[in-house]
Amino acid sequence: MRRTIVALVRSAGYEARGFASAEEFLRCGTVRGFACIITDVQMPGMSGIELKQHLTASRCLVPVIMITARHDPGLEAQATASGAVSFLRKPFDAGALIRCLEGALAP
Amino acid sequence: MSGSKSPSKRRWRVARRRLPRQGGLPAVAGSQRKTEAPNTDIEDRKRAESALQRSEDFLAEAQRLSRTGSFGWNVSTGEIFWSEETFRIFGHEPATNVTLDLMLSRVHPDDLASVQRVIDRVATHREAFDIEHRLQMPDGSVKHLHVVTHALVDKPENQEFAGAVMDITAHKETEHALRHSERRYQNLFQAMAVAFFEVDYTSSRQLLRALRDAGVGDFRRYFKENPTFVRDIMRATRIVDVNDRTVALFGRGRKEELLTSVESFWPEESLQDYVEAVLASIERNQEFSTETRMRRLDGTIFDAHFTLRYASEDGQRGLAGVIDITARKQAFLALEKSEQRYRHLFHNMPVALWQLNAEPLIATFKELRGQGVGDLSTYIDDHPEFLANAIGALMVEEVNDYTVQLFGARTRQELLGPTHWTWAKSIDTFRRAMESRWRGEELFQETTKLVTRDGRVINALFTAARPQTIEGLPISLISVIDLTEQVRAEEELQRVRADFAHAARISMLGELTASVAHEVNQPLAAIAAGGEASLRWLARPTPDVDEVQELTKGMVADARRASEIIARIRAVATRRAPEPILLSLDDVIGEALLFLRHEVESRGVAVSHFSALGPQKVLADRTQLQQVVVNLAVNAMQAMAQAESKKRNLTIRTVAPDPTRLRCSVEDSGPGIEPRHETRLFDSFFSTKDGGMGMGLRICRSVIEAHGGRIEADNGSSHGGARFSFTLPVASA
Repeated sequence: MRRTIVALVRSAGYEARGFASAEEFLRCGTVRGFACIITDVQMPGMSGIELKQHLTASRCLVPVIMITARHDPGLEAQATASGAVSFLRKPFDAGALIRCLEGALAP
Repeated sequence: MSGSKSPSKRRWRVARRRLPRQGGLPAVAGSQRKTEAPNTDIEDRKRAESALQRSEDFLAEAQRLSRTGSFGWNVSTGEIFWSEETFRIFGHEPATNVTLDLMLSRVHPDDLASVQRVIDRVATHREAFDIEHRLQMPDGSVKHLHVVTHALVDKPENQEFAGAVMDITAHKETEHALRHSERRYQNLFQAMAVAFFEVDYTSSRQLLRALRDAGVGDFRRYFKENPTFVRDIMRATRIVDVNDRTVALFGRGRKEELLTSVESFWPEESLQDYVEAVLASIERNQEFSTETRMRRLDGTIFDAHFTLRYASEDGQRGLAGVIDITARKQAFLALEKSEQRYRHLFHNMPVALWQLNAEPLIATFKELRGQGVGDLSTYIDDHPEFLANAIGALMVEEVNDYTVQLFGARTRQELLGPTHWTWAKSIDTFRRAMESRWRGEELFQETTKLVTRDGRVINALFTAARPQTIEGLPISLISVIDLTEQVRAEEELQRVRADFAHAARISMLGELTASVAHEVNQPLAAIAAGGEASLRWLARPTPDVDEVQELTKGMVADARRASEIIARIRAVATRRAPEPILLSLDDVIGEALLFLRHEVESRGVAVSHFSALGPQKVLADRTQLQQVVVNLAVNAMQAMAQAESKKRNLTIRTVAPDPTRLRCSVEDSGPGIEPRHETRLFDSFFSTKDGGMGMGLRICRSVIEAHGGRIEADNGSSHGGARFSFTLPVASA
């Protein structure tokens, strides 16, 4: 899935890179060099929401788009509360993701 | 020799030599006296001579035939004359010069003294004598002689004796044999375990004769009409002697008591048997025997075997033998009863029974052992024809009614003889039965499939018993219990169990709908996104074919993954008969975890799988075993979720606690099992979950037990929660 999203974003004309987990992304050292972050809510280790909270705490304001396969009620509210700019449920429409991305990057 | 006058030795011998033998002349009774008669007439003399010669020839012949020799002895002159036969008896050539010493040299050493005494007395007192003594012949044989003399008293001054020597050896031997036989008879008579008594029929014969004289022809009828007459005959039949055994059997200690008539021996009920004995005697049968009942002096009656033999030609004396057969009769009755019981059991048992004659088979075994065959199994491998031959050698001699029914035969005869027809599906069973017999086992039992006479195949418990002590006959008893119904019930149970497990899987799929949907959606979403991305690459002014190629590869892989997931779900949802195969327990756990991946992720559970197993396998149905693992894992995750545990750990371990078993345990970090629930965990409809059916653990137990294992629960988790463990037997091979 990760691989497909990277390909999809690149097909829209952006540069993109995939990471296996939130921890791996945080360790890459160029977090502030990215214009947007797309993350799954549920991941082994740090969750998407925890990642956003971590970024906020470290004053990193890169917009975060969250995706989830879960249908727990309240999950979207939690994501929005944490500061996510968009929230998508799988399976999502590719156009919808691009629209979210364009929205997040709009000046 | 009597009447011969002063025969001198010389003259007699000369006379004997002078007389050539001539036959064909009339016999003339006479003696040598005639030779003494003066006769001047030549013709007369010639006639007299030939008559004399004839007479001598006849005498010699008579002596030879009667083994009697003659002799003359002149005590005064010491002259001794022997006849030809006397020479032969003494074993000397006729020409020998006879002296007293010659005679004495042949006398048996043991008899020499007494013979000498007799001779001395004759010489001194001139008395005639009559003695028996023995001769010791040069070849070592012994002859018995009877010697008789008398004095020729007409010449007192010239005392002569004439005598006869009889060879009584044969007679002596006969006498000896007779005495021996008589003694033997007496010994037998007294010592045999048969009561013998000798009876005198003289008086009873007279009664019968009188009856015949009175015109009675049909004795049988007469006896029937006159039973008192039979009693009369009994009373007239006297017992003259009895042996000790008779005293013991009939009497009260004293022999004399029994020496009366036979009447008291014959109770009323045996009258007819006695009549038969009498009739047999009238018909001049030498021997008669019957089984009857006889009476003792004290009045008690016993079963007897009675034999009667007429000892004398005229039927005046008879010998009766009686054997007490009470014990034998009782034993026989008991045997008969037990035989009847056996027959009854054999024929009426609701079990198929065959009686086999194993004699030819045992002979074959003996032969093989003689050839040095030690292991029959190896022998059969080398000689596969042995089995067919062995079946041919085992003949069914008898079957019971139930066998006829069970084996679909029309008659009992159809089932007798060799049993080739029944082993088509189970020759291995027959082989193992042979090997068992070879090892000398008394019992062999196996469940197997047997072909019936009408071609059906039945599931049966086959048992062969080889009792070693049925009169030494090598008999085998086979019992066949029809297990068809039982096997059908067992199969039905298996089917219900499988249905039950299937229903539980469907129910679980329902519970896991979200996870299942996610599992399927994941690759589908990826494919959709991949498609969109490809379209975008293609829509560019310069389509990027390389990018599209990469994306398309990814989509193909995702589509394959999707179909694998669907196949997995399908396997869970499909209803089919369990199919035990050799499985690695760890593989099954891995597959279950794959199925639960989304569930695990979405519940935020950390799962670990530790294996301490080698290559051991279990024989199990893959889907059912997966179901157990999934069930236990889902239970653990639900328990942790329900308790809102912060830390959610699930560990699955596999170990081999001993060489025969494998164990899998599922440990969680939930609240553990409440002690009051522990005993009811695996019961049906027991649940601590909200909306739980309470069938999950029940199914787990049913599946594990059907695979020969056990399942149990405790709070021994390394994470401090509950631990569910099951064991399964290690599959051999």
